[in-house]
Amino acid sequence: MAIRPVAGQPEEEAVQTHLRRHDRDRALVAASGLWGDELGQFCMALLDSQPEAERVVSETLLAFHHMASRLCGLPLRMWLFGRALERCRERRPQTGRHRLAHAEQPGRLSPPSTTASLAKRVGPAPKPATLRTWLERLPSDQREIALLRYLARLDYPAIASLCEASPETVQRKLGRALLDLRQEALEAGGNALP
Amino acid sequence: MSDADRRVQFVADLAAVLDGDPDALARNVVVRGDNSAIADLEADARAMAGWIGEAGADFVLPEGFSARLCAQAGIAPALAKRSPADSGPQLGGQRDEHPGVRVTLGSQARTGHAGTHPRGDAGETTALALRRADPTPAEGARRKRQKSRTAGRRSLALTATAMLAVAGYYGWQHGGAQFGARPDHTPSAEPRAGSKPQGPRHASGPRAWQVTRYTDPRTRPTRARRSVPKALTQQHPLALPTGVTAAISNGPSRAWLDGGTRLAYDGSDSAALRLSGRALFQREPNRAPKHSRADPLTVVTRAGRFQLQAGLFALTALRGHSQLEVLRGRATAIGLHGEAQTLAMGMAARLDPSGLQTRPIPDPAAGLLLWEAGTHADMGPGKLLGAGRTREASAHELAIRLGPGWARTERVDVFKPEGAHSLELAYQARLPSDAHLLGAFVEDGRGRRAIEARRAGGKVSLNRVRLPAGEALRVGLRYAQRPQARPFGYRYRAELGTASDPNTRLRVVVRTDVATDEPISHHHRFTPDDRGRLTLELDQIAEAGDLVLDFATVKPLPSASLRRNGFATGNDPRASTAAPWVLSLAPGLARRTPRAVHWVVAVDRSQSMFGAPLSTATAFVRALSEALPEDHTMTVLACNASCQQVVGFDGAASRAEALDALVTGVTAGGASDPEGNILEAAATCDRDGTSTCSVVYVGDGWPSLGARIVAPPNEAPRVTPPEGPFLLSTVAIGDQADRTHLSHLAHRQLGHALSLSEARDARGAALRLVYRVGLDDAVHIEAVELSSGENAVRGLPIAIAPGMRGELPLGLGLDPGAPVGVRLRGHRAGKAWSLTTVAATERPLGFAPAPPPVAPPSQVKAPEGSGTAETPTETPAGTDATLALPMLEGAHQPTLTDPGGDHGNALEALARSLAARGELERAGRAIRRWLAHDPSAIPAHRLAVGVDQRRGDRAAAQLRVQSLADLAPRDPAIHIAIAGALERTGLPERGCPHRVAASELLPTDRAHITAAVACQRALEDDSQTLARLETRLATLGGPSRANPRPKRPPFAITAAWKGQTRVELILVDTRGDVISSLWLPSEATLVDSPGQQRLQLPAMAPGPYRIELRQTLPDRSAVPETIVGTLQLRTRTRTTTLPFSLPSQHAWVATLHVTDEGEASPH
Repeated sequence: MAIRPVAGQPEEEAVQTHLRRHDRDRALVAASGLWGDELGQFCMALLDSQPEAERVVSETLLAFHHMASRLCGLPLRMWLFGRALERCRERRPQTGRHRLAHAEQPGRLSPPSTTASLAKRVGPAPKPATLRTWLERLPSDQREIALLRYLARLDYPAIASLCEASPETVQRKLGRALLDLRQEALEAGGNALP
Repeated sequence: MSDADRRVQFVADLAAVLDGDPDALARNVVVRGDNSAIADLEADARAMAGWIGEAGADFVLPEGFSARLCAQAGIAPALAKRSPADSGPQLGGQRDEHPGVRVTLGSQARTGHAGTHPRGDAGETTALALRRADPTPAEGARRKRQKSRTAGRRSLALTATAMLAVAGYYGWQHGGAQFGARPDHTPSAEPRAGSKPQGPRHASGPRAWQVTRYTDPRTRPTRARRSVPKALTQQHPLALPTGVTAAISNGPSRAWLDGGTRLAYDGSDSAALRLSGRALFQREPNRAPKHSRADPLTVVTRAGRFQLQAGLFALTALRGHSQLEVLRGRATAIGLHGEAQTLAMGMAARLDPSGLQTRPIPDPAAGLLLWEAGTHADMGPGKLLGAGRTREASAHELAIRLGPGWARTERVDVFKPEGAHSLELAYQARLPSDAHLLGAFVEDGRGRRAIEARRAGGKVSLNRVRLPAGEALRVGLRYAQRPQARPFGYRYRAELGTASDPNTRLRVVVRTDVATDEPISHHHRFTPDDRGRLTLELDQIAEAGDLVLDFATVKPLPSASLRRNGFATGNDPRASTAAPWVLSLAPGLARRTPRAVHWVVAVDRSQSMFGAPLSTATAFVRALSEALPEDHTMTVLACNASCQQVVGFDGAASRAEALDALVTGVTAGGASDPEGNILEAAATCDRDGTSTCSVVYVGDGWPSLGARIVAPPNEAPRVTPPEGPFLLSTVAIGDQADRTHLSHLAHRQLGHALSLSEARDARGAALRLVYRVGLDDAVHIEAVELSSGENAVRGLPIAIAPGMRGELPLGLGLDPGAPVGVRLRGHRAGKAWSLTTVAATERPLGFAPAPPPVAPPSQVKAPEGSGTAETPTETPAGTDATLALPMLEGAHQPTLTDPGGDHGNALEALARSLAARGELERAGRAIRRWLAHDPSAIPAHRLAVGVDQRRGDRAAAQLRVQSLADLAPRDPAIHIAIAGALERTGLPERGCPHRVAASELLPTDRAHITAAVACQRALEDDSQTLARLETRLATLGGPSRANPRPKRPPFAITAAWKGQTRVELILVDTRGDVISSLWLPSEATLVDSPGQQRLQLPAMAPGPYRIELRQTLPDRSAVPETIVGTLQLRTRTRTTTLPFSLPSQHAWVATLHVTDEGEASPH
């Protein structure tokens, strides 16, 4: 996977300023403040373990500090989340659960007749542990894509390069992930929902 | 579009719809508008998308996380005092949760607690400290008092920002050295002469490291002073810079160090104390450091202590940690919590508050590496700070000459005896069994010296050693303790003889040298002529025996680096005429195993590589992978405009499978960007510090993105890749490759450019090897060995000037398609150099994925009333195919015996026979060899289309079909076939140009012109062409109907099955050609509908045909289903129906015998 330099996001500007000055120490301090929490949440969602998530965040930021001289001008957010994703993959081997494409399962498009639509019951978000349980049941690629999109807030080209797929594939898998999660939520019924 | 299709489309666009993509919204406006279920679905998905963002919301960064992170990264606590605005948002997610409390970074005392230490910077670890931004009046007064008290004690020159001061104490009277320090005491002033050890003081600076005691060497007992060479102390008076806060002394010399950043103590022969890269003094090299077990050197640091029993080491004390490299001897690192670990030679340790980390020294031969910074987890590549190239010493060279030729000599072992400061190597050469030593080794200028010889583990006298037949003699050369005054450089001589001929002499000359860096070069300056050489000359050898020589280097050459592997050459008479060339030995002293290499191979898969070049490239990759040692890792990237990792593997076991995936998974297409691909490959490289990165670019070098590099090498700018250093090799594939561009690319990266091309002559293939080197190097290639199978050919020595190109035309009879091992050895830039690679000729090599499973023919039943159908039997596929082979081979027998021995015809017969039998793997190899013989053979390509399709590589088959137009642009049948294949694949817009081309090639054929007009109208494209075609159609006259209704063909084969799985019907004739959706005669038609495929043929040649079915799976991971259906054959006179079962992806379901024109019978 190659990461090509792109224009940095505004939030990255402070870190990029330090990197341009070859001040990696301050860059680390700034990056830790900017993305430490989000990285932790991302790793927590993937690993379901606070100590493991802490460890991955620490390793990711230390790697950032070590490679700071090479990261100037690169999309740092994408780099950090990509690195964290790799670390999480190492700690948690991917499970190869295959599902047929939804195009071959048109019946999944309709909600079960016995369950009310989720849309009518949207309230406060479920507990994070419940969400992670639902995410756990997704194929690993869909789970990663969903978290990279909605938790790490990366754009489709960035996710595509991290997941080694085309942006169109990422969009399709994301749609499937949402449908599967919805199905999980509906099957969980009232017990899972607040 | 039906409702179901709209739903499918909506699911595919769901994410884009949630993002508000206008295109996606427009595409799904209908389904979103009139379907409440879809509206609910969208709302649910939108809610779910919001929830996903909260999946890790219960994660909380622990208190002190950022401080620990900074401590691990070695960040100065002073950084924490910067304003938060300058460093981005505040740390740890504690964003103004406590009014009036500001989070800053500080350090805390060793026993303190995070966030509570009032000063936060006086001690051991760095932690997060919470401090009120506005101190209370009482606290302000306390701080003021403390500040005034501290300022009074800061009487000596000590900067307030100093982070470290190291106090040294080297105790001669105790026979060792000791550094002592306590963090909780104040630093002492510069000690005066005659001063006694001082007691602890209070800290004067918040982060200072303090001297606990100090003993001036001049106050030592007389006995200790006498051991100090007087001359040395006089020659190297102390230089005390301003601001001394700590002192370190080692024996007679002392250096005073500024209490600041870095202290490096190098215990090597060129020992020097350096501060920030600058030596404060340079003293006489300490060639005999006495840090033995009885007299260890203890170094106390803030994180723990090192106890050294090493004779050669490098120690660096940095702000937050200490680092140690042990290049000779052992050391024990003891952390703060008491954990101890003993480091062996060639290891390094980093000791910091977070613990002890060890790792092998990456490359001690490159010099003394002191890591400038880094983390405890990854120390980084290091930076050369210390004593330079002191380890690059002692080039040993070995050559053995036996009679008229050179002996085959090989290094059989390299080992280091436990507890000895020596490296021993064993060489083995074939010698007469009764050879014996007549002389003794002589140390040049020192007289005779007894040497040690061993035979079967015991000592023998070297005055006359008789070698029994078949027994090896191991002669050990071991340097003894070297006197202090002796300069470097040794020469040993010995003679060996045989009992059979007393006149035979074996002369042994060993000379070693030490290449040193500048600080000690005044002792001895070595020239290339000083390089030693061991020459064993033994004449009149009648029979062969074994002789093993052991070499050992000890203290005089503590870091002897025997570079490169020993040479091995046969007793070739031609070699005797060449200059005796020798090779140095590698690797260095500390690393006895070769450094692993991570190979990143970027294979060009752009459109220009389609066909044979891509096959050659993949064959090259396969041959390269098979030639690599098992500990090397390899990553293969398939690159066009960008790279995609195809496979990565790190073991020999998985290479074959992985490379099969490469071959089957990569098809040519897209643009090419060699330079970008190389940089991407370099970025992929594993840079964990334990392996070397080597990037190999394999392609034709023609860039469709970016510009070609056409400037000469000395004018092209050097590019330093941001991805880090790597070794680049570019391999040009094909005669038409852009070798200039590739070699310039390699030159810009200071890499190698290896170009291989093939030229034919009357005897067969010849290989031309072009090697290009960088600007600053000159390569003298002294040995070129090419091996292909059991044949080995040696080329003539050549010399390549800097920046120039050397060509090695090598005529050799290579097996077509066999890999060729290339080994170049010689000298480059004054150093021994070698390159081993695997080349391939232009011929594609044999490789193919695993053959698809061949299912047995289904059990067929003859229809009632059919007199020609055979009795149904269940016949294994292999049996049936074997029985069918003689018939098939017999059909092509004339081509096998063509006069003149045309290999093309023989290969064609072989390929067709194998394809007809269904042995697709072997058929693929035969076709590639056929295409290598005649790349423009259209029948070969057509046969390959069928084989590829039957193997499941439909993409390759389709690309090959399209490429046929380039081979035969004037053949209308090719264009018609291509157009039909593309239209059936669902690409009518790409088939239409071929329709137009066919109509232009057949200007009077009304049917094809009307077909071209129809497709042009359907595409509503190129009105000018359409007008021209319509004009021509009008000129021809006749019926105006563009698509006359075809007649009902006499043959029709219909496969019908249950389910939605797509199945292809493939008809294979006795020549291996297929009739399928990808290649259909112009008169035939193929009707494809869900659950059914019908092939209609106007005529069929008599003979047997295989009817095969193949499932088209959505992706590689999909599991084929068992498909059950019927196969219907309709002729003019009757219709026959057979059931079939397709249990796998591809199966041969029936055989069709066409008895005569118009009659056929299945069975």
